[in-house]
Amino acid sequence: MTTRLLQTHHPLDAEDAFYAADGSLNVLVADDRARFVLRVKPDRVDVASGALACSLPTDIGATASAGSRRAYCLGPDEWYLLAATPEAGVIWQSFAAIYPTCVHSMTDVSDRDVGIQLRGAGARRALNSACPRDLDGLDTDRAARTVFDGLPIVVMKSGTESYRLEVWRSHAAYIWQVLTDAARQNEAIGDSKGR
Amino acid sequence: MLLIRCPYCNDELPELEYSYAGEAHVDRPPDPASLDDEAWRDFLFVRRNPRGLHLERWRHAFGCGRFFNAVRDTATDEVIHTYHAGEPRPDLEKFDRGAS
Amino acid sequence: MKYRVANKGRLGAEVGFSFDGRSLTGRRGDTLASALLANGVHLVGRSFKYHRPRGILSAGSEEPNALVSIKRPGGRSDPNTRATVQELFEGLVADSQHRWPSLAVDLNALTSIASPFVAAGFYYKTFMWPRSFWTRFYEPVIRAAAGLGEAPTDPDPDTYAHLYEHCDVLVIGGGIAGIAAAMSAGASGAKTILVDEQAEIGGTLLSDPSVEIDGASCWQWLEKAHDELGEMDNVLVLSRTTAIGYYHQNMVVMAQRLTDHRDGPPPKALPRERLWHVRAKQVVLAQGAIERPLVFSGNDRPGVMLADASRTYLNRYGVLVGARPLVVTNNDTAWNAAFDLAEAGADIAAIVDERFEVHPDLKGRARTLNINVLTGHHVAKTEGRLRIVAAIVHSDQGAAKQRIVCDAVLMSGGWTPSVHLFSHTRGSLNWNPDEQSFLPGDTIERCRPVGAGNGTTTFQGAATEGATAGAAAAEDAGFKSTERAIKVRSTSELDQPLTVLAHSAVPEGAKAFIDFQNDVTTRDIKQAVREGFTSIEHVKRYTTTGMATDQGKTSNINGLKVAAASIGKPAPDIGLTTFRPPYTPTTFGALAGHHKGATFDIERRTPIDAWAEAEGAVYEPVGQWRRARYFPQGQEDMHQAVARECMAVRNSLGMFDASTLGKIEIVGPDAAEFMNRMYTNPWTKLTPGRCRYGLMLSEDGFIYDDGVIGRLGPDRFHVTTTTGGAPRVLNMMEDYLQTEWSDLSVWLTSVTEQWAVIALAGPRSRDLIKPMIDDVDLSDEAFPHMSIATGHILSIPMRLFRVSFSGERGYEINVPARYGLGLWKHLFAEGQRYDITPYGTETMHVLRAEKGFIIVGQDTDGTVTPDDAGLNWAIGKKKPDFVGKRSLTRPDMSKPDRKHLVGLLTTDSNEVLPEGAQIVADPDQQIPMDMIGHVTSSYWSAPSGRSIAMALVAGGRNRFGETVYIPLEGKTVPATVTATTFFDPDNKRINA
Repeated sequence: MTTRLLQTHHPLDAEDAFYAADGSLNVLVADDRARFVLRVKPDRVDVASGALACSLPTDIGATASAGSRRAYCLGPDEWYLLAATPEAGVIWQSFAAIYPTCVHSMTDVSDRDVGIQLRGAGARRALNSACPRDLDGLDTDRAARTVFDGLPIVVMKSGTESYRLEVWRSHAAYIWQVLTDAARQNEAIGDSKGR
Repeated sequence: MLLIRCPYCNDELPELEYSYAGEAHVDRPPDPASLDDEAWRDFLFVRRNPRGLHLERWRHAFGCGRFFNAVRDTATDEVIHTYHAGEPRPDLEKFDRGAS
Repeated sequence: MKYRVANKGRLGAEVGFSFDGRSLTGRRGDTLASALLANGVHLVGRSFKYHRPRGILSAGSEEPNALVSIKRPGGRSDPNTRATVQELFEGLVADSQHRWPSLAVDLNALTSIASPFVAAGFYYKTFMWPRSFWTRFYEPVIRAAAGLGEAPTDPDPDTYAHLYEHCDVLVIGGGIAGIAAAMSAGASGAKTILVDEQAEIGGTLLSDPSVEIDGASCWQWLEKAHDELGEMDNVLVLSRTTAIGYYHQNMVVMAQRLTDHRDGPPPKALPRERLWHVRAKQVVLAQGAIERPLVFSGNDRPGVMLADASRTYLNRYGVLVGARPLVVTNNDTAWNAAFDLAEAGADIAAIVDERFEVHPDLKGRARTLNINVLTGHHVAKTEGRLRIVAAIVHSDQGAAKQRIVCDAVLMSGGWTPSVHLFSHTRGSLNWNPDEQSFLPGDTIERCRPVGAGNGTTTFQGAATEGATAGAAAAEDAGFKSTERAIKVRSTSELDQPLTVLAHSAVPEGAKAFIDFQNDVTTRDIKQAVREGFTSIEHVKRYTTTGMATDQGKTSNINGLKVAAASIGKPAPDIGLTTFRPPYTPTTFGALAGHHKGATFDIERRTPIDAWAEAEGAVYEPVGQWRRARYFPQGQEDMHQAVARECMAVRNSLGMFDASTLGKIEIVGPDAAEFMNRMYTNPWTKLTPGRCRYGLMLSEDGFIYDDGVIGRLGPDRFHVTTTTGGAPRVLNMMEDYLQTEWSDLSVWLTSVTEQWAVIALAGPRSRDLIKPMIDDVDLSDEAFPHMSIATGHILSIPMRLFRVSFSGERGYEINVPARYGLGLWKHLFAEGQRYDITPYGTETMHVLRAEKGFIIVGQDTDGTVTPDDAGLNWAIGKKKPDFVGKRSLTRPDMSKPDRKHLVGLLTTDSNEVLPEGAQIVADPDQQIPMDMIGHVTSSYWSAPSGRSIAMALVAGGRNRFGETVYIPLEGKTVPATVTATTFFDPDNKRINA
């Protein structure tokens, strides 16, 4: 029997992509990724970085990329890694190989989280409907784990009008609803782009 | 909503990202078996409750996840100083603002 | 509208509305109050306690009297709306409140006869006897009579929005001071927000078009200011937005009203309000000042209003509030009201000024306008029932008293700077004896009070102060700035500061009101002091002055002065009560935001949930999750469904969605050592591939959480927790790891949602999965009970546990969550040949109870030790230390009468005890009975053919075989104390 016998499901399968009528915001389900949480002692970061073939920045909030691989520093010894799904096995093997000399707790969370993409001038305000952080103050190409209505989210900012969120699987539908409702409200009020 | 500086993230962030974690510098005795019942009771339950500067812990739960220490004035709710877990108890005199 | 004055006001086209069923006309730009006054309507309500006729006191949000019920389009209604704040819209329907049968004839006013008995604090002294009358008579009558307005009964159709925003400079208040501040700050490039509670900015300038600014009339200047602010991309002007609270570190919460002023129902997506949480680097407070009433007997009659409000009604709304108004005052500003109204055609009955000396310019202008002036006089009382008809004026210099006929009294007792938001910061207040008011002092917040709110009473002063503050705020926020110079010329101001004389002689027993909304008089305050309440906080609560929806905006200072005089201390020594948010009444909707309807709270669902829903599962909430409780077939009720599900599991095969279980991946060379310290059990010798039931205590020795833990490798554990416990277990682990044992080389990662978990239980469980798994040997020798293996099921990566919460042969299949639903469906289809039966949490509870397995949080409550629960076997005896170990030897922890977890079998086997029921030893004991424990879990057990229960009973293990009693309503149920295992006590079925 092969995997194709079993259908996979995504918590946002029932949602259509959201497009604001005034063009200020698109909310889309992000492409699937392999996801890992990497914990390793900061003084062994070089070894881990070699295994990933991507640098691991040690400044909390900093990001690095190499090919399809992205590394986000979320804590003094914690990185959140995204990669193209087919590369998951190779990455896992590389980290298994370094363990004897560089202990770590590489953990697969590919199914724990799902990604949501926000694009448009209205993205910041939609996020700030339930996230209290100063997102304008977050620099481009930086990430932050923060809170959205009491739920943990990781925000990756790739531009003033471009954010990717990683949220827990069972939180996704609720976060999607709150975000898109806020976007609709901002559009109706007429100040979705801020100012 | 307080704005608290996480000493690990080195950023002032909203209180909603944090959870409170009680009095600071209450070290778990390294050999609990050697404590008598009163001493163990004190470790479990007895805490300070000052009006004024209080050394306490917070966790950046929706952030870097680290526990850290803070000096907060319980009368004004000002978080005056934050520092890494494991650092020694600071000298409170240097935070004295006179009568509060 | 005979009170409308031509060529005055800022108004648009005609608008129709109704009040108490009467159709009236107003103009676009009116408030409901100004439109009513334009129609000559002064009587708008009845007071809270005495049902006295009341009119409109003010022209702003400080209004205490004119509370009406508004119907908005689309079935919306709002009680207790201030008519002075409600903007007029086409088709507005308003009704007065708190009167029966009508506003003019309110029979409730007969309670005024009882007024000596309902003075301050009466409810502490009355309605005490006879005791039985309270629930039967007093309470229902009081409930019916109390309150103002009627709460709506239909669900609120509106939605509400929230927004977190950050800025450099926040200016609160859009009068001249605030506008000047915003212009200066904005010009520097600082991100600036200017907010005002009214429909348009301008503040007092909207009431005084004679003021000239920068060479133009102030109304022309306001238009230019609006454009200038609008052109700056870094400036945001929010009108109809009230700053309701000032919180730590310059967080200001503001309620923005979006639809209450609109004709017709709003567009569906448009929220009624948006609540802003603004974090500002710098704040400028420009909230202005509120006029104070004078205190005299009958100062609450319809037609008695604040003097400057009459000016606002004339100049901003084009309405004369009376044909023959009497002006009474103790300061200069009310003279401007007299002059403006006289020039608009009113016949000013007189200006009564309590001061003996008044500026000659004022007297001169009064002479020019033929206005009679009486200095050194005061109003003693008024006459008129539904409208004022006359005032009795006394002289303080021996002249005769006079009865002055009038149809309005315009009173001014001075001005109170609005220090509410400043006080939220716990800033200090300084008493200004000249103005008889408090001014902002010091605060630790980065804010600058300016304008009338800071005691600066001239327009030029306010403009300059605002500009300076705005520039300084921008500088402090990091922007180079210059002050925006504004030149003001005002003919209505004098160079001299206001001087206010407090008039103290108020007749006892008279209706001289301090707090209009709560009907508190000077007599009430004096009585409170006489009864010993000499702290202002006590005076407030005993009399309820300042406790109405207007929060004492027009009463605090007057109340303070009467209290101070009674106590015999200066007012600043008595002080004011604490100012608390919200500044003005705020809807629950605004505060709730999206927390209503579908997004009231998160409801987490597993990957398999959709299948359960399609099958008609009945759900129960478990923490934030919804979990299938049972799967009724046909017309089954819960009892029948659960009985069927239980039998199906024990006889053949059941399937259960266990995905919500908490899961933590613990990885590192010190993983086993960390586990040893966190759990009671020993872990070092647990072989990879094996599982163990882990018990976790808190440091005080009580059971905190539990779960099956599998060792995947020397350095990797897959830890499970209770569904609700995962976040707090992980938090506790991180606490110890980071702050106590940071030398350990181990890390923790939450993986609760990484894995979907399908539990199969029953003798046929292995039969079902064997053909689907190639790479794990499932024989009992290779894979005994309490094993874990990684492998594949149908080529999907899998972690397979052999565990059992039911006592039957059981497996828990963990697959990456995206495959959970697909695998469930496949197992269900393939399992038909074994009569596979999906079961829910209720059956899961029954099956484990039959085996005596505890559920943390149900059979434990934070006070249960391992010994109490019969779990001493789970404690590693040789471990030197673990969290909670030391506490287990506290003297109290081994007392013989501690409550032990035991089983209960009711004498009548069909009787199912209610969970939580109390247990007694002697059923005939008199009340209060000694309670020796309670029922923790209780079910009908189909496999046992009778009811079973678990309970915590004092000394329970010493009572096996004894009968105990459970008193319930109408009967007492006897039960026998037993061990906690009711089914298969030798655990033979695990390998069936």
